[in-house]
Amino acid sequence: MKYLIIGNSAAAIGAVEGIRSQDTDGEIIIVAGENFHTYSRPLISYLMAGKIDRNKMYYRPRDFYRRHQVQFYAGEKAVRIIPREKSVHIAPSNLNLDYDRLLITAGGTPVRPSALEGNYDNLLYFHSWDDMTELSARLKSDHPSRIVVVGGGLIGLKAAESLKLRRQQVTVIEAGSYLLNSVMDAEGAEIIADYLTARGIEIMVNNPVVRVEGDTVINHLFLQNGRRIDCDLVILAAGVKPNLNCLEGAGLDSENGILVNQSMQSSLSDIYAAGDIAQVYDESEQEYRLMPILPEAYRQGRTAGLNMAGGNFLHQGQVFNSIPLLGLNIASAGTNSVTDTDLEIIQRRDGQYNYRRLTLQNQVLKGFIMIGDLNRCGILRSLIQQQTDVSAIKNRLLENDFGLLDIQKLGKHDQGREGPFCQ
Amino acid sequence: MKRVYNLSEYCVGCGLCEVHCATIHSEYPDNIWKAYRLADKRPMSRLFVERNATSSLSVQCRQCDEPACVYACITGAITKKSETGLVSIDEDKCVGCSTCLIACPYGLIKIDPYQKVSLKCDMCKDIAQTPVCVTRCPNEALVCREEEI
Repeated sequence: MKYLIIGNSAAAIGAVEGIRSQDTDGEIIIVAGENFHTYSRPLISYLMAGKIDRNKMYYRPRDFYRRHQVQFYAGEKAVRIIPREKSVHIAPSNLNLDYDRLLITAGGTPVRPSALEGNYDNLLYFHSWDDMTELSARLKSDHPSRIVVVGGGLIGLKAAESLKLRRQQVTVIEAGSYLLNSVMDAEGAEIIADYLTARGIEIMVNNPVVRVEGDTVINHLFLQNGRRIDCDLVILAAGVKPNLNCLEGAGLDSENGILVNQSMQSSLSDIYAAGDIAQVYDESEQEYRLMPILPEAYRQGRTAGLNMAGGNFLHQGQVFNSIPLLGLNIASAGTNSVTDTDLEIIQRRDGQYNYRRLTLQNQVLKGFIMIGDLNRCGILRSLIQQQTDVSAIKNRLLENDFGLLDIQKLGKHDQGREGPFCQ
Repeated sequence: MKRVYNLSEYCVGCGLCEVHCATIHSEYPDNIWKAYRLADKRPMSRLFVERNATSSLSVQCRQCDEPACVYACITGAITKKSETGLVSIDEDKCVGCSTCLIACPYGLIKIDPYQKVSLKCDMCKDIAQTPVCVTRCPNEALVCREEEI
């Protein structure tokens, strides 16, 4: 069996580990666009802040490819997929690679808001290790730059944090009505904005960039409310969109990403997709969704790998995030957006920066938001995943000493094979 | 592989498991008083003790067959060893992002407030043959079982 994997991040590594747990002999080939050993993208903010060194960027040990017998093509991009011939054309080497099973984990590219189209020397991304290296090289600690981060999501805020730790003057601009709006509610976002503002990061929400001024460099940005912001550098962090370019003519069904079923299989049976590029069927939401976060990418890739090697596994997608920002823990899981009227919200706020908010529907936990203390939050995530009726312990869910003794009261909840109680 | 289980009818919630766990992982592994009073930072246990009106539970990492924390880790710091089944955290590689805290379905990972890294039960690997929470429990409420991987 010949497995070809396009991409070299978490989803690709998950696939290699999934394949090798089933098939120790098959040939595995990875085609990587970037010239790096597999590294963790979220760690670029830690590297820029000086919290870790280069050696800690790698997602797996340096002997990973050798130990898993992976043939590695670095600095190569898939330019055309030819399902009829079961091959992929890669460049710049201009080779045709054959496959029996193909996995596409080509990831995404940063989105560029229309007001920021054009080439400017001081407009940078914060998406790859190379992006971070370039940005880092332009920073001077003795002479701080005025830096505008466009986008107040997970990546934008991690960029802002690391720039602040590098003693730069940072302003975050968010077009939406509050920070982290894909994972947070308005009150939680305000707590985060207060915390970051108190630590010297300027936050502006509900205020998209409408125009920029400058020829080769952006000197000023103009916001919707008319305000002008002077800047030395602009960082684009307004989200990512899947890299669908290589799919042209391949005949794969796609919308925003490659559509895959819960086996991670595309509309063509020998082709799988995982990670930021995949639009995965989400059972609890009953729709196909992009879930561009690292833990999802690994699990999707692993499921794809297991199935490519002949397994029969179904992926249960679940979005969850944790980002510490200048020492404040921020976590969320599941669905927290209030779109349905039959949702029940319970919340608790202690002190300035401790906040817990749960979303329930028909006595089933659908999502949580936690700021500050994250103690035991994994149990809540598990309740969301298992769609357990929590009515018997609803008054306990927000308590500080909530734990597995409470879960024991839920007869139907599966504590797992490894449950702590002696059978 | 080894796994620790709780006999809840014997557990009285005394918390000695916590004290011994914290001590043996401290700078003074053989002296409780020194571990708590002389070390620069308060020793941290790697297990959780829960108590309510009628029962109590001492619980530590389940060393899951399908470890959600390993799959979720953004750095590759958490691994499950194929030979021993032990799930361990490389504290040198961990950046304290807390993603594993959300991933663990039992809520059994905590953050070390001093080092800002994730902490979990290491089954007293390199320290003792049998985890100290088991050997030091006065009521034999914890048992360590050898299971197939």
